[in-house]
Amino acid sequence: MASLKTEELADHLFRHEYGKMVAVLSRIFGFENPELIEDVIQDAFVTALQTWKYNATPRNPSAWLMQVAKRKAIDILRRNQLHQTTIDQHLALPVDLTIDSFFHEDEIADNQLRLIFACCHPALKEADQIALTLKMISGFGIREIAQALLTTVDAIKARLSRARKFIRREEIPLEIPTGKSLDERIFTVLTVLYLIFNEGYYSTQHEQIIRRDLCDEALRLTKQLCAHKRGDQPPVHALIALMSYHASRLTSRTDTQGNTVLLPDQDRSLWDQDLISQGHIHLQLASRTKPFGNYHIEAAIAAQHCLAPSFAETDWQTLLSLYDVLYTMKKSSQILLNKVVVLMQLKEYDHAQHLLLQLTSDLDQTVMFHSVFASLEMDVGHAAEAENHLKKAIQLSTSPLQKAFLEEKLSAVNSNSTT
Amino acid sequence: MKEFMLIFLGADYSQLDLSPEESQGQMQKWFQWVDNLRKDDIYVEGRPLAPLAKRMQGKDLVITDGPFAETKELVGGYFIVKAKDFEAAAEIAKDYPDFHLGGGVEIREVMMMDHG
Repeated sequence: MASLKTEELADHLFRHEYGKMVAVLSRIFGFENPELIEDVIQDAFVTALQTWKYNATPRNPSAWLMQVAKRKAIDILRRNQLHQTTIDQHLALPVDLTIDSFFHEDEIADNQLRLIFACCHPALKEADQIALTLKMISGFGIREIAQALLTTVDAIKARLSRARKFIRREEIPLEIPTGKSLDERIFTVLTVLYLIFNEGYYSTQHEQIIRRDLCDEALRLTKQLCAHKRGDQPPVHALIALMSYHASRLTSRTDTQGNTVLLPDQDRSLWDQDLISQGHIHLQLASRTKPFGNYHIEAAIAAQHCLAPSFAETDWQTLLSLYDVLYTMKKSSQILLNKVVVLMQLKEYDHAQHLLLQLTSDLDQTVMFHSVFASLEMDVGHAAEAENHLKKAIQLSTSPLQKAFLEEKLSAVNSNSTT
Repeated sequence: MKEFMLIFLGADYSQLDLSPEESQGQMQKWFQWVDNLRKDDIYVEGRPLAPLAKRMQGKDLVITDGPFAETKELVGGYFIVKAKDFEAAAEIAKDYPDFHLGGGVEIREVMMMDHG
């Protein structure tokens, strides 16, 4: 009699195994044969589903899936005699032995890294990099990617096919860059991973569960990159730190109705202390060698918030200098807007207003700009101006949740100004 | 208590294009179902059947290779559960996790051979 314990698979096991199988199979069939790769993996999952569900989960599910994939891959090679594949090129050994070598743990880790670099190739469009990474590395389904990126299934299919055509046409090799190009290529990979994270973190239109999923996945991939000796680089640690600090606050950022809770009102006891410690550890690892890049500074900024016992006790002076450093690295209006928020906390209203006026031409069409401007006008007692900015923000917002939030602020302004 | 065989027809997962996460979610539902049956102490056994089949017939033992049925009717496996009557067995079958994926359940009473 089997045990009475419920069978339980590790969270996202299939997704993670999908990524591993793609890594191995793209070596066998070539990255340019996504249909074959997909077939083999589908077959492994279908076989698993048909048998494991009778309470017969194998002791090592990961090895089991790989074994099925391997058998199927060898079958296909024998049947189709795919001589044009990479196999031939290194084929001093019989097919079985060559394929065996692709299935070693270290080899899988290398292959996954090669794949990440290919999916985040700098010549691909950003939107395509993201879709391809979520599909091939993270094992998201096409519907799930469409949902995560707030677009349609057809749009995602088009992006994937465009990206794959590009990789085939340009004969993008599956390789881990070396030397100087490694740094540049890692930087592109980090940009893609950070975009995926932000898609989850800043979106106002997703359900909480999808947002967390994207953040967790981005963090997992960044850690995976870092775990490889070639990916163990200061900026990679810095990005892990940054993501960890941000992710620690996820739960406190929405209330039970799904409304946004801003930093001053967040319940800090909900912040995930394990993630915060993880942030500290990686920020330290990131800071062993100079120079520091923007991820270092952004992580340091996020760390300041995590370290502050309350909103009022935040070290705004330090934050101000961090934003100034960050702006020297990245001339972005968004950074200046964040600086305005800090200046307001330091009650440097004139300076804040001066900056905001400078930003008008750049940010006049953004919700955040008007929302920050409204707060400033409130702080200095200009209710009418605050009202105007809030109305503009509401007009610009495309998210019902965000609109509701701004409406609430607006009615607070109105009731304050009439009393 | 009588015993009933729940024979699972379909679902044909290979045609459904489930994402890895969806496949895993479906698997977890089956685990939960078996677990509930065990907690109620009405689960006897369950096994999957491989799709390949051979049929031998006639005095010449003519062999036909399967699978025979339409894929959607293909027997994927079975459970044997304890229930007091057909209604109770049907109640159990309502929790079959694959209805929404096009699967179905056939319920048959397993005869007791009492030679006592």
